[in-house]
Amino acid sequence: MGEAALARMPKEKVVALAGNPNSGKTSIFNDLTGSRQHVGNWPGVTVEKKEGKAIYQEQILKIIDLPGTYSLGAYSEDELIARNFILFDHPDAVINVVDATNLERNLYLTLQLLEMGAKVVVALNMMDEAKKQGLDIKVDKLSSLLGVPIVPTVATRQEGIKELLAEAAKMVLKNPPSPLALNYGREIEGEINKLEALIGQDPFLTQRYPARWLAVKLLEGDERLQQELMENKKGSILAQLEKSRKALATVLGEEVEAVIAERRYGFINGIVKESVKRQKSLEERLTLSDRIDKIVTNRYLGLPVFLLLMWTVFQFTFKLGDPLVGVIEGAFESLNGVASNRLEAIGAPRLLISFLTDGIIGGLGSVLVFIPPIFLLFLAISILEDSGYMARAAYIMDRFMHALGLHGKSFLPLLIGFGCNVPGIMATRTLENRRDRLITILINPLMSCTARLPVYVLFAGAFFPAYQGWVIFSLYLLGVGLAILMGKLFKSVLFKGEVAPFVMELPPYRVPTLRGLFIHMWERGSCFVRKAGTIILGVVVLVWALSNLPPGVEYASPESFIGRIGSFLAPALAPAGFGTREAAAALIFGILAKEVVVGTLGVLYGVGEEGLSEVITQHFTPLSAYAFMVMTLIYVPCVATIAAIRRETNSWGWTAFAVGYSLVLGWVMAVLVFQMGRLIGTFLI
Amino acid sequence: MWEKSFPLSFLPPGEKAKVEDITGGLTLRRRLTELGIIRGKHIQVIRNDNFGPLIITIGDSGDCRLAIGRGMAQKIMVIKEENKTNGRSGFGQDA
Repeated sequence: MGEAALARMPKEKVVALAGNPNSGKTSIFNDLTGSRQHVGNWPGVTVEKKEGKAIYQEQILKIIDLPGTYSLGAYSEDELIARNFILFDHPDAVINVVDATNLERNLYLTLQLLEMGAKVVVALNMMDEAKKQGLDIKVDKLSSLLGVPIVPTVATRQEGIKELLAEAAKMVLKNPPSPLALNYGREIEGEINKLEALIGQDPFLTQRYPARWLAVKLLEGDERLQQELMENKKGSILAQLEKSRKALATVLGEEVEAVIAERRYGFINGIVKESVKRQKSLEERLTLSDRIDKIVTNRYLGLPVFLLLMWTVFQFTFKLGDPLVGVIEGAFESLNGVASNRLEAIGAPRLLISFLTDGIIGGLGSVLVFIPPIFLLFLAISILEDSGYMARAAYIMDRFMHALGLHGKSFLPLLIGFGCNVPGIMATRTLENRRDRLITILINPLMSCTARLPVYVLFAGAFFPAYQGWVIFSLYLLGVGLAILMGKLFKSVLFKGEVAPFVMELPPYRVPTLRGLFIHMWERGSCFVRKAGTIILGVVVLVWALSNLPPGVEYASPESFIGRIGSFLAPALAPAGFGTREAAAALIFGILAKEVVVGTLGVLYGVGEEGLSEVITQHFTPLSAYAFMVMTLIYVPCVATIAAIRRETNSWGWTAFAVGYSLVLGWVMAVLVFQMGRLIGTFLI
Repeated sequence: MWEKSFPLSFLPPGEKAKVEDITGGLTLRRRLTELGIIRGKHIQVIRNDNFGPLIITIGDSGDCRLAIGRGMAQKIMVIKEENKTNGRSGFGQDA
């Protein structure tokens, strides 16, 4: 039915969704559009522009989810995106999602929307929680004081959504209201009027902005707008602005901006006082959240609780995921066997069989084995986020992560990296600051993932049987140490001066809804399969081609392209002590997945994985073996990780940087280990 | 008046104070403004371990809890207020 309506009605109206982080905006978006979309308790989770469609009585409403912001200044990219959309795209209505339990702060945004002359419908969300907290909100009173329609909603239970949609559809047909003109007091109003008069004479500006709004913003010191005026040579307005600000600074004795903010809050305060009754005093309400926080954020208990939960997440993801991975691997192996038998039976060419089995099926398999841990991990993360715990984890870890120059929120992605870097990198989405996010992504591959373990087990077992555990542990430590070093280096060299203050909402604890959890898990998980999957499959096929070309060569033999590349690169690895064709080729294949290093060495040395530990003792010394493990730890992240980096940074430049720096670092470290070891050896002997 | 004001970071848990001034730069002040921390607002410290971020609640705005970095809290100058009721006290130096 919906499809039919879509086909019949070509003209669509645009409704923007605006609101604070944690106001339930994303839930409302899901309710309105039914689209798959993440909802979490993290501030700033909605970074991308998301669209959906809602249909009300044969009218199509295109719903645009604006980034969650507290304000519409030019403070952050998110705010600017939201503000510019409302100013320049002129949505036919703006649904402003307001957290009823937190009216004052949420109405600060509402007020700014009204000052811009937006066609606002307020969704007064979380009404159930407001009632529980003893807040009696007189919706009609609030609505008449603000001059906008208000619909009470409970997004998590889809209450009030139909009414909200009806109000929005009504608003779409109305003419824009005149922008709200708050009274900022005699002195400021005088200067606003002067500026407004000048702006009013300028058709370029009046076409773009409501004149009064622009005047107020300029007085507030909005850099973006001032810059725009400068670029467009609006000297007379800028001169007046300068005069006005000076005059006000002397009259008010303080900064205009602060006074304007105070007046806004004052206005809100008045509205709230008139329309909200508190049935319980603040002191009576030591909330459940507070009681949980008493334990969870306790200075002594906080960390153990956190570590326990992280350990649980880890166990949940990999203990539950591993058997499933085994099943998938088994299924693909037998599929491979069946396919090659069938193809041989019908007399298909050998190259085609190899392409279909080793290339396509093998490639698909290497994508699909990531599905169980990734979906389980995202399920676990969604539980932590939606329940509200994640914000507490960031609070607890903040003090420790400061040593790394990062915020508390960076901890989880790094921890997850020990399991697998791919979900680790994807988990950086919870970081709102771009600098922190990039650094956390770049150092994530240094967390030694489980795929590298088989390599360590093989080499450490063959060369250091008595100290196997310690050798492996030393590699994990080396990774962490390098991560700290690199993190500090990147921070001081690449991202100088970008300091974001740490401030974060701690939303009340909530029981996550199954629907919400499923949507989040699905959205993130399927995203990986779609986006990373295609890249992984592509590279697998490429490596297959390199191993089988030129035509007629033995798979991955010295004559194949990969063999030739191996021989070509081997000399470069000589300073690290493993300058052999086999080692080079194994490392190249290891880019597919680190554990492939072991299998490749087996093939190249012409033994199975069983005889491998003996054969490698003939080709490596203990020292070169350790250098090789160091190389395996650091050099170039695996394809899946590279794909994740590309996807999360949305930049080939940063992806190339991640690959490049790790390759250089890996080589340098391996060479350092080998040469230093030799030097120490000669002294000892 | 002014001699009584001190950084929020020194306010013990459970205590209330009124924001007197914000001494940080424009970015910091804007961030605080949009979160509702402006001059004249009442702040209660829920948790302050004298190390790491603080947990605070603003005004009468209900159950909203904010974690704010110590660096930020050092730039919020407050004047202590007497607790008129002895109902809820914060927590932090318990255990």
